[in-house]
Amino acid sequence: MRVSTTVTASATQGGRVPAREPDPPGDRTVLRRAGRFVDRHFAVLLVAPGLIWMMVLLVYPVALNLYYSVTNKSFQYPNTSVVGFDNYAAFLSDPEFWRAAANSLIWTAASIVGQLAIGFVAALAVEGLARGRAVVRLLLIVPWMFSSIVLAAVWRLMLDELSGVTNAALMAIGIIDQPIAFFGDGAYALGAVIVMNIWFGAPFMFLAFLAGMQTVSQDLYEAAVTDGAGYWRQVWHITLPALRPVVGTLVILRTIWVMNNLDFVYLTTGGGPRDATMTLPLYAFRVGWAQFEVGRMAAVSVGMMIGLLALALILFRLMPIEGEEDRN
Amino acid sequence: MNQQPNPFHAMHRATSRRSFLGLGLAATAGLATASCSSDGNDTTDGGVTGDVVFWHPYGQETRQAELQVAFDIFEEEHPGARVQAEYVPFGDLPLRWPAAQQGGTLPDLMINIPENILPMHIAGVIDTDALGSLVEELGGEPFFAPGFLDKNGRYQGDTFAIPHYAHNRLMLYRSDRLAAAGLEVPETLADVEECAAAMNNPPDFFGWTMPLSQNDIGGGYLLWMITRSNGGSLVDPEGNQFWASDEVRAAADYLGRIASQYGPTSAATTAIGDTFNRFHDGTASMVVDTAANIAVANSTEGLDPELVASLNGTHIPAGTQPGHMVGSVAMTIPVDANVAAAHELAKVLYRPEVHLDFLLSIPMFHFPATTNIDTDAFFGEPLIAQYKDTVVAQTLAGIDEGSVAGFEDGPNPFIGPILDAKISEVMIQDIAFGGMGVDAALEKAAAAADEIVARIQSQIS
Repeated sequence: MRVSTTVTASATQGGRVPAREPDPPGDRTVLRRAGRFVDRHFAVLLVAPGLIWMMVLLVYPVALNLYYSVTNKSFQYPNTSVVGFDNYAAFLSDPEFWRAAANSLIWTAASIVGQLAIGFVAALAVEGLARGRAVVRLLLIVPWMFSSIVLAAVWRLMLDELSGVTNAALMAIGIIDQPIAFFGDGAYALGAVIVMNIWFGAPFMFLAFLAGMQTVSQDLYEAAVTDGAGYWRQVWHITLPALRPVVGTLVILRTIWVMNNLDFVYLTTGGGPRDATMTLPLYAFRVGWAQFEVGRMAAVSVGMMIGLLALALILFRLMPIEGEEDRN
Repeated sequence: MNQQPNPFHAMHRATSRRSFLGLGLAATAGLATASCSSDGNDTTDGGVTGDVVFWHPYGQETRQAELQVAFDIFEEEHPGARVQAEYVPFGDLPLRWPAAQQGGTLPDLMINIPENILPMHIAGVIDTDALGSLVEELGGEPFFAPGFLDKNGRYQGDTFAIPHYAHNRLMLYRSDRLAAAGLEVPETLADVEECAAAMNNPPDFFGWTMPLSQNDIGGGYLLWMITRSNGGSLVDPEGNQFWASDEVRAAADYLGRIASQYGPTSAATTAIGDTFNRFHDGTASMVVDTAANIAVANSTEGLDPELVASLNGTHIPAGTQPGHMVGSVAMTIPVDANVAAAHELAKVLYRPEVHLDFLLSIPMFHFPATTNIDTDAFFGEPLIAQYKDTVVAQTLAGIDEGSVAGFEDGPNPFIGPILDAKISEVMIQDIAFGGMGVDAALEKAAAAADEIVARIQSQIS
C-alpha cells in the first residue's frame, strides 16, 4: 500500500485554520473520515450506548406487548396467530374485568387517602417532637424493611378467623362475639387488604411529608405567631400550602404504584373470596400466568397502561408538583 | 502572547478520544464473543459425556440428598459426564419450558407432573421415541404399576411421562373425635357428611375444612374427586364438558353444603398447603390431603403426641365408587436431549436400591408406581408399617384404581387450564358463602370453562 508523505506546511502557519488535508487513497481515507466523524460526534457517541440500551429496555417490551395483545399467544401451546382485537373485546366484555377495575379504583383511592392522612398526621406529630425524632422516624419506617411475602403472612396470621390475635382481642373486649374471617369474608376482605396497604404505605408518606416540612421557612411560622395564628391555623395556611408539590408528587407516584400492586392482594386473598378483592393486576396475572394466555394478558396490560396514563394526566392537571417559585 | 493551537495536543486529544471509544467497542466485542463462544454445555451427542442437565421439583434436603447419591453413582460410572441438576418447582415449569425451548436450553432429563408435561408433548417438545426406548430398557410395561402408564403417561399412543413416584388423595380424619361421636370410619358421601356434622364445634373446630382459596386449585380437585365418586367427569380428552350432568351438580351441591354448614368461612382463603396447619392445630376434624400430611405430623417437633396419634385416613368418600385422585410425579426426556446420558441417569434413578432410598427419604410421602423396589423393605419402614392397613392401603388402592385429576379417560389437555382458572373454587364459594343457587353457579362455571376449551381447541388444532 502506498503511504502518502504529503505534508501541508500551511497547517501550522500564521494561526490560520489548517487547510484540509487531501484525502489519501484507500483504507487510510476511510479511517481518517471515521476519525473525523468520531471527533465531531464525540459527545453523542459517548451517550449513544446508554441511550440505545434504554430505548431497547423501554421500547422493546412495550412493542412486544402490543404485538402479543393482538395474538393468541400462549405459554402452553405454540400455535400463535394474529387474532386482531379479539383479546381486547374479550376482556372488555368480561364482567369480571369491570369488577376488577372498580375494585382497583376503590383499593387505590382508599389506600392513598388513608396513607396521606396517616402520613401527614404522623409527620406533624414527629415534627413537633423536641427529642427522639430520629428513633420515631426509624420505627415508623419498619414496614418497609420487610418483604411483602413476610408482611402478608403476618397479616394473615393476625387476622386469621380461627387463631388470629385480632379476633381474640376483639372478642376479649366485647366488640365481637364471633370471630370474623377478615380475608375470607367478602364483606370484609377488600377493607382488610386496604388497611394492610395503608399500614404499609403511610410511612413513605410520612417521610416525604417530614422532609417537605424541613424546607418550610421558620420565618413564616414566626410571622404567623406574631400575627396571633394558632397551631392549626399555621398548619392550614403555611404547612399545607408549602407541601402541595409534595402531595402532588406522592399522589401521582403512589397512584401508579398502588394501582399496579399485585403482591399484597395475591398473597393475602388471591383475589377472593368470590373475586371480592380481584384487582386489575391480579386479573391480568390470572389470565397470563394461571391460564398462560399471554395474548389476553398483554391486551389487559395495554388497557391498564392506557388507563393509568389517562389517570396520571388528570392527576398532573389537578395536582401541581411544581412549587410557586418554580412556576414564576 | 498569542496562543497558537498545538497540533500535537490536538492530535493527542483526538487520539485519546478515538482510543477511548475503540477500547469500549473492543471490550463490548470481547464480551459478546466470550458469551457466545461457550454455552457451558459440552454434551456430546450420542455419548454419555459432558453436562447432563436435569430438572427436578424436589426442594427438600432429604430428597436432594438421595438425588445426589444417584448423581454420584452416575458420574462414577460415566467419568466424562457431569449432572447439572436444577430445582424447578411444579408451578414454575409452565413458564420455564417455553423460554428454555426458545433459548435452546431444555434439559436432557426432567421430572414434573404429567399435567404440566402434557402441553410440552402437544407442543412437540417431548422426545417420545427416546422415552419409549427408555421404557423398553427398563423392562417394558411390567416395570410400571398395571395400567398406570396408559392412564397417566400416554397420549394418543405416545408415552410422554413415566412415573417416578405417586400418591393418592385421602379423607383424613381425627379418630379421637370420631370415636367420641360414636361413628365408624366414613365410607360414603353420606357417612362423611354425618361425620362432618358430628365433629363440628365452631369456632373451636370444624367438621371439614376445604381448601377453597383462589390462589390454589384445591376446590377444583375436590369437585373432580366428588364428581368421580358420583361416577361422572368434568371434561373428557375431546373437550366435551359435563357441568350440566347430574354427577357434577350433585358434587357441587354436596361440597357447597358441607363447606357452608361444617367449614369455616376462612376456607375461602385456605390453600392446599394450609390444610397441614388446620389439621395439625386441631381446628379441622377432617381434611382431604395425601398421606404426606400424616407423615409431616409425625416428623414435626412440638405437635401434641395425642393429636398426632389420632390422625388417620381413608379413601375419598364413595358414591358409586371412591373418587381416587392420584398424584403422579413423572420423568420425561425433551427433544434435542443427550438421549444416551438421559437414559443412563434415569436408569440409575430407577435402580432398585436408589429408588427405594428415595421413596423412603420422607416416609409416606412417596409411593411406588413401579415394580422395581423391594416391597418388604418399603412396607417394613416403621411409619409405613404403622399405617399399612389404613392410609397406606388406601393410597395404593388409589394408585391402582384412580388417575391424575381429569385423566380418568387418559391424559386430557383441557383439565389443567380449567382447574387453573379457579372456576371451581369460585363456584363452590358462590354456593357455600355467596348464597348463589347450585344451578346458577354451575351455569357461570360452565360458561367460563366453555371459553377455555374453545381456546385450547383452537390452539391444539
